[in-house]
Amino acid sequence: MTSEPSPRRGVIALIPDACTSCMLCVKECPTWCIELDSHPEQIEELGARPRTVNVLDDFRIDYGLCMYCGICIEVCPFDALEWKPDFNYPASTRSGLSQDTQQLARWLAESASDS
Amino acid sequence: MAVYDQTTTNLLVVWRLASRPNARVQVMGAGLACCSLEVEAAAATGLLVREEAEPPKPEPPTATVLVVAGTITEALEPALERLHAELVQQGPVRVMSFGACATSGGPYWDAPTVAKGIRSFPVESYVPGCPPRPEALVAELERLVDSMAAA
Amino acid sequence: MITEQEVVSVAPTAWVETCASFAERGLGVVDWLTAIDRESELDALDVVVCLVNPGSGDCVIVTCRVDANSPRVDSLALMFRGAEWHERETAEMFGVEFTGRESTEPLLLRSADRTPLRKSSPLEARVETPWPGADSDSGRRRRKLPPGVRVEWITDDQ
Repeated sequence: MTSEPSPRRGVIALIPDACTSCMLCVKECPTWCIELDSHPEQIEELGARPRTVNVLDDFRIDYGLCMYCGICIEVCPFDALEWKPDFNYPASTRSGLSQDTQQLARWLAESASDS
Repeated sequence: MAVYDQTTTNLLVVWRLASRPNARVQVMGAGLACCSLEVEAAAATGLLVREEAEPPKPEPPTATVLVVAGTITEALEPALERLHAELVQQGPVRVMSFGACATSGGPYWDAPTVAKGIRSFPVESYVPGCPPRPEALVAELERLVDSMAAA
Repeated sequence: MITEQEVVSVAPTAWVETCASFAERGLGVVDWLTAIDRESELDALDVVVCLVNPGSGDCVIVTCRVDANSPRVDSLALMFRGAEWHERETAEMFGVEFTGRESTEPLLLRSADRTPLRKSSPLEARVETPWPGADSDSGRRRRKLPPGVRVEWITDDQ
């Protein structure tokens, strides 16, 4: 067995702070496995006009559907999605394969041996 | 074994888990599409050991894990259902859905000829991947085997 | 090795005899056979066969254009055994009738009233599944249909 598995066969992790909820990944996903909820918020900063930003509420990837094509990573204009090496995240229920923002962010720090 | 009579050997290959030599658990690989190559990959690294073609066992296995690996077309679904029913008659069976196709249809989720994953019998374990790594197969097999031994 | 790939378009009435004449010149094996839905340009399907000479690797592609509403052409399966499977598949997926052969029993479809590879055939799963990429109702942008879904496939209850 190889020592370090390729992250390409691992998992896709999310950097929530980098996500602008632009929905590009959701729209481009061939299996429709990404769901994203956001809401607009007014930001007022001193000396600047108020502006509206989208605030991310929830980002989910259904790993029961995902075909690991990486298109979401390719299309993200803000590099908010990344390959990570963890490959071992089975579930005892179908819905247990759907991973939320917290878990997707947790994968950022993890290496394969942590799983 | 009756299942050999009604299904092809491609649909059903019997393996043993190398890391649990005393478990008397047989791993039935229902290889329907490319995910089954990962089962072969696990075998190539010695993690799984292929049983001889069809030897009558001196002792029946205490448990069976049915690994469904690959795309389930609606045309093949009845054969898979029959295979599961026959295995259940022989003893306890745990079902592993290996990869996106067996779980949900995966890349073929919108194909008119493909079932959206296993729907004819209960599944104990879903292993994600397209395909999952062979190490993920073996890790989950070990977990299933240990939980069956404990039961 | 493929040395040259000639494309010959013939009328449906000349389909079998054209292929037979290529077979006489050594191109006697059906490599593949399928159909192309020409819906975007005209109301027709092209039936396409690739004949090869297994010795030299030479091949020729023969096509014939059939009416989309009653796609029908004589079967090649009596002359080329290798056409049998591909004709079954093409009949099932495109609704092309290959006349003169025994049967075109479906391989994959459970009901015979669908022709999934015709462009007009609705992608049911894409119609029925809510698209996560649809803009929310409150959004200013106009709701777009999911990729691969035609507006005429949407009924009011969806």
